Amino acid sequence: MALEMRLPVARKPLSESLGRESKKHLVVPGDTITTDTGFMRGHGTYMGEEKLIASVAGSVERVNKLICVKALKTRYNGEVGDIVVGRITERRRSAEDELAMRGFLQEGDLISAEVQAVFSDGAVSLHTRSLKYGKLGQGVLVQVSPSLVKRQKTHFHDLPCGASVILGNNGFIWVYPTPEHKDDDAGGFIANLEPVSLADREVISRLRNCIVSLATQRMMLYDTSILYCYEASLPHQIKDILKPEIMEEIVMETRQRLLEQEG
Amino acid sequence: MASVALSEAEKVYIVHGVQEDLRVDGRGCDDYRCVEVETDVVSNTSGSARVKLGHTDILVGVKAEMGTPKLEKPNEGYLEFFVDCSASAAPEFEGRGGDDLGTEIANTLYRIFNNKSSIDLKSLCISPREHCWVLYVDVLLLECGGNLFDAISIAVKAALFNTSASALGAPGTETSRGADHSRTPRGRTLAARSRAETPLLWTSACVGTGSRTESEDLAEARGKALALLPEPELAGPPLPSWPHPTLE
Repeated sequence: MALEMRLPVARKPLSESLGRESKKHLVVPGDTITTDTGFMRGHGTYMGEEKLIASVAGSVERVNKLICVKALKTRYNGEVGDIVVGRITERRRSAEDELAMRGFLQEGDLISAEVQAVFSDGAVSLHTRSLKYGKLGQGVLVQVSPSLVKRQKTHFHDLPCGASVILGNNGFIWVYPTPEHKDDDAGGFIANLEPVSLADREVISRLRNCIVSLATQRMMLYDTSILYCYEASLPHQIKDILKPEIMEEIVMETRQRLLEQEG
Repeated sequence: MASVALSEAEKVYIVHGVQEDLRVDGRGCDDYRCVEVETDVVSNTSGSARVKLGHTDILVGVKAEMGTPKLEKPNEGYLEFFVDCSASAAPEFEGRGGDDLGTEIANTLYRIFNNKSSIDLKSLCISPREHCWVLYVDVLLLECGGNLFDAISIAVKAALFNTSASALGAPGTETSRGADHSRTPRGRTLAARSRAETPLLWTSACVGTGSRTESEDLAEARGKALALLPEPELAGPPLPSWPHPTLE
């Protein structure tokens, strides 16, 4: 039985250790962004008393004449075409529903779906009209803030390390073993309940810890960042990844690689 | 603690994982999450400790006060436990929601400290049948991330350790009242003993055919937790050296 106890240590902020020159312009609700009225208002801002004021807490982004504030932590706002992973919490109790759906989907099941329409009150309607959507089988769910999931062309990734991920725009990330045959995907409605091999489990646990580390350090999540983080974590044991100092080390290395790749 | 609904496939995955000794976050069945312990955090108490175990955050304060010994145990002092599940720890603790859990935890603490070998209550006695030290132990649940019993027992142990000799009547402090209470070497005895003999709790949940310790919320919803009270001689794993309390 391994039990590690330690004293709490104040950690220095990551931007100091990176030596970043350009500081982000951070604002809180009510802060004045600028008094110049020539700018167009974007998301997260409003005009009041001749100046542009922030309505959310986040960093200011400027594209030519458009100023918007990108919030650090948001509730998920559905957009048409988003991929989401969700858990069934409640269902309509009617006779037709009982006959039709009970066999396939139960309360507590996880599904992947696409947003079809958004109502004015913010509710979304989902569809699973393609075989790649549907009930999810064995795997691990990681919940992160929706603002950390990067918008990409596809959110279903088969990673070369041996597992697959679904990056839901709502912040729910599903890590699962890559299915053997290409035709039975993550979707469908019959779940495969055979035991997953130990090697696959290790890959999935490692990926799960990497995603949690990236989310804790507020890094954007997409297939490349997750893969680089996975590779950076290989020298360490899976359970050590969540230790604060190792987490920082791995995420720093990931950040470096991503910067090199861009530049 | 919120009960999380899981799909059948997720449950199967977790159970198989426990059988293979590899949990969802890579830990083995017997591995604990990282624990952070800090003592002497609350200034107006005799002793205090804060323990962070994953997302669980516990704050314990100990106040030593003079009281009368109980009738059936005239030579001993005693401990009183109060557990407060703060509403910020979990949504269901709002209002009176946390009272049941708080009472359950307090009763468990009473049970383990009722043992003669857990803590030397005789050292808390000042004069038989008249005066004794009463230690009021207040436990505050700041954040609930699973495995409450273990974390609380670690925090209580650390706080009792931190209950410094000065609070229990070392010469010349204002806590000593009445005749002859200023000189009692017993205060120091208490601190030394509590370090070694105060018991720790170890929670184990049965999952499928295996068992696992130190679960986060997700798995506690799946299994039933058994609190094991260790023998005083085997009180918990060998302890690392505790941070030395700063006496001011």
